[in-house]
Amino acid sequence: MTNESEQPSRAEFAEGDADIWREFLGREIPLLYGMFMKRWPNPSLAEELVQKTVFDAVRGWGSYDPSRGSPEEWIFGIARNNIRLEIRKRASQPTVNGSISNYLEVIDTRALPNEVLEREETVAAVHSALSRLESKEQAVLRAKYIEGLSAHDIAKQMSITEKAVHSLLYRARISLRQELKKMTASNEEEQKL
Amino acid sequence: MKREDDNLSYRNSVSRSDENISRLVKLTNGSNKPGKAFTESLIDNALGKLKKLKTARKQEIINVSRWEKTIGWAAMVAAGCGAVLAIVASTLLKINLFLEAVVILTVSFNWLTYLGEHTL
Repeated sequence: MTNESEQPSRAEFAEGDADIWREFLGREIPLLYGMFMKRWPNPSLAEELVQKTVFDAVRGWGSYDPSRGSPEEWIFGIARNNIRLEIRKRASQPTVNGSISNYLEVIDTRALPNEVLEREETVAAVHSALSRLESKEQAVLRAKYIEGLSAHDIAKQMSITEKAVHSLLYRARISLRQELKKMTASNEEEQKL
Repeated sequence: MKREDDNLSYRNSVSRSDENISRLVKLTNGSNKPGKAFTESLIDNALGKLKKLKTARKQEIINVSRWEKTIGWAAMVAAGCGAVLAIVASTLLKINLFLEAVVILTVSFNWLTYLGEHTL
C-alpha cells in the first residue's frame, strides 16, 4: 500500500518537480547532516559533505530510476559514496600531527586541517575560549557563524547598526584568537609541569 | 600594482581567517542539526540548479527532435526519388524488351517473306 502511494511521488521526483524536491531536500538534509556528523564530529565538514551530496543528486537527477528504489535510498547511496571519497582523500594525505596551537599562527593563510578540528581538545579549547569573551562578542559570533545570519539581521536582532555589527565581529574574532592562544599556551605549560 | 597585490593578499587572508574562525565557532554548536539559514540557502541553490538543468534538457530534446525531423524528411525524399527511379527504369526495361521482340519478329517476318518469294 505504501509503495503504491509512493509511486506517483517517485515519478514526480524523477521528473524534477520543484515542490517534491523542496519537500524531499527539507526532509533529507538534516538526516544527511546527522549521518556525516556521526562519522566526523565536524560541523563545517558535515555542511560541505551535505552540500556535495545534494549537488551530486541534483546533477544526476536524470539517472534516478524509480523502479530501483526510493529517492531516500538513492541520495543516501550518494552520501555513502562521498564518505568513501573522504576516507580515501584522508588516507592519501599525510597524517596531521600537533594541536590547534600549531595552527593559530597561520590561521590567516592556511585552512585548519579537519583532523585538528575533530579532536576533543580542540572542541574543549574553543568552548572555553568562547565562554571567556564578552556576551556581546559571543552572541555576534554565534549569530554569524552558527545561525548563519547576515549583518543586517544581526543588527536587527541586537538593535545596533550594521556598521557596529561589523566592528563587533572584528573585535570578537581578534578576542577569540587571543583567548585561544592563551588557553593553548597555558595547557602546554601544564603538560610540561 | 604592488599595492593592488597587497590588497588582494590582505583580502585573501581576511577570508581565510574568517573561514577558519567560522569552522572553529561551529564546533561549539551542540545541536546535531544544520543551521536553518544553511538548509534554506542550500535548498534554494539546489532548486535553482535543478531548474537550469531541466531547461537545458528540454532544449536538448527539442534540438534532437528537430534533427530527427530533418533526417526523417530527407529519408522520405530519398525513398520517393528511389521509387520513381525504379518505376522509370522498369518501364524503360519493359519498352526495351518490347522493341527487341518487335525487331526479332520483323527480322523473322522479313526472312520468311524472302524465303517465300524465292522458293515459290
